[in-house]
Amino acid sequence: MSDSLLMLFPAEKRSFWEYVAKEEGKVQEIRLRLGRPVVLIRQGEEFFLNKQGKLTSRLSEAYLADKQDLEGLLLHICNYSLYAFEDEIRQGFITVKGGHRVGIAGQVVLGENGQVQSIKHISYINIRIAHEMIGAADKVLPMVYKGGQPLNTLIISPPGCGKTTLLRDLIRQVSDGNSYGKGVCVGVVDERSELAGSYLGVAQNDLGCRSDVLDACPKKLGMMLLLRSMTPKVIAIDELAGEADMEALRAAAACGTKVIATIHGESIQDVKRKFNELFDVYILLEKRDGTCKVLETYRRKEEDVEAFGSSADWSRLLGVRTLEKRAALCAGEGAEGIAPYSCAVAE
Amino acid sequence: MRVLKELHRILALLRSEIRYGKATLPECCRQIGVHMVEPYRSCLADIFTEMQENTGERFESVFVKHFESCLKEEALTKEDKELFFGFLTIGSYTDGKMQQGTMEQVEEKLRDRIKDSETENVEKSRMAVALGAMSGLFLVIVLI
Repeated sequence: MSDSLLMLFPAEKRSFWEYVAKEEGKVQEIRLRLGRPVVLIRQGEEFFLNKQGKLTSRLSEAYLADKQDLEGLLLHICNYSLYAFEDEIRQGFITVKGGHRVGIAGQVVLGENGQVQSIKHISYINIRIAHEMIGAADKVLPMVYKGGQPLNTLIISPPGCGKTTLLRDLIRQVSDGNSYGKGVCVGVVDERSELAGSYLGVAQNDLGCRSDVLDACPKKLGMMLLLRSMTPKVIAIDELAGEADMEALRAAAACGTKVIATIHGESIQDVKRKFNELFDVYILLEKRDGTCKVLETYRRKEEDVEAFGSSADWSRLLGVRTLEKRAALCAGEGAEGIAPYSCAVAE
Repeated sequence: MRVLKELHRILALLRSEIRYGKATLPECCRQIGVHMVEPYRSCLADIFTEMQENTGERFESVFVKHFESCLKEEALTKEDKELFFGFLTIGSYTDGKMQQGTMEQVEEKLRDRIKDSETENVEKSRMAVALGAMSGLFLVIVLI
């Protein structure tokens, strides 16, 4: 995965991107806009790229992305087969080898039913570099287990706070087994190819040895398929939305399968009302000073929803230590191989 | 003729792979390669391998490079080759149906070319037979 960033670019552009590729571990985002400077987010800081592909903070020195840059990149990441990524282009992003996510924008073509049929004149590309964070779920594991069994867990946060990163590591730990419970079969419905970062059907991220991944499959359909075919003990899904997903969740719960999921939200109270009966554990994430961390958690106890820890408690238990670890990580110290949430979390 | 028919078959299989599996062009090469005879089997496998290595080369150039070397020994005209490589110059469409449609057009052109070659061959063989008969007759007259 060391040069997976360089591999995104066609041969004629690789020398330009060489320097950035060397910094892959620190780079979070690369933004290309037609006729505009190439912007790079590195450790939370914004830079431009100059004509030599080096970082600069001066706009006047910035290299302007041209049509060839965008077209060449898009064709290359699509393996010169745009039609094969028709659905992804319609959704506005493509997951590439290495688990990186390439977002695209341009002129939307609407179909007869008013739905997005395609995007043409693609003039904006945003590459979000995937940084798999092994150990990100270490601190929430005690909440997620009861009597050695995983509980129905919902991770809540606004966009960009590390929901997917936390879920990914949770899947890995539940699948492999950990000090709180034995490893169990996990069925992963990866509708947007973000969890496994599958490329040609092969998961690019470590989701554990007992995980079965259904890539690019709609959540409702995927959950039912997995329930029938793979008999998972736990089903993991990213970004719940709509009544169809709820129906499938209820079906999964009725089968006795546990669910670990994420949802966009600002507070536990908002989400809890909707899912009161379905989930046992709620974890709310937030991003502060560029660091993603657990803000609040709740665990249901029998009929009631019990506060498992107040915001202040968790900031003491998780937040402060997280910040310490983040500082250590940014200083390149590694932090005991555990990196719960650092500045470089791709959601 | 035999080569043209094989090339036509390759195009038809590529199109089917796109229609059925919505596979990328390099993937299609790998899938259809197993159904082909040598040297096309190795040629298609090599294309897939090189694209997998991700040297940054465009698919068009990798495809042309491998097929040029594969067809080196074959008696194909420049026009025939250009016709076959025609589906690459069209470019890639976001819409799968459009991609298949354009490939079908190239396939049709190749089919017409095969038909023309067949007609040409029949005419040529007729002419050869006629010439043979005439020269035989001439020889008989001379000998008498």
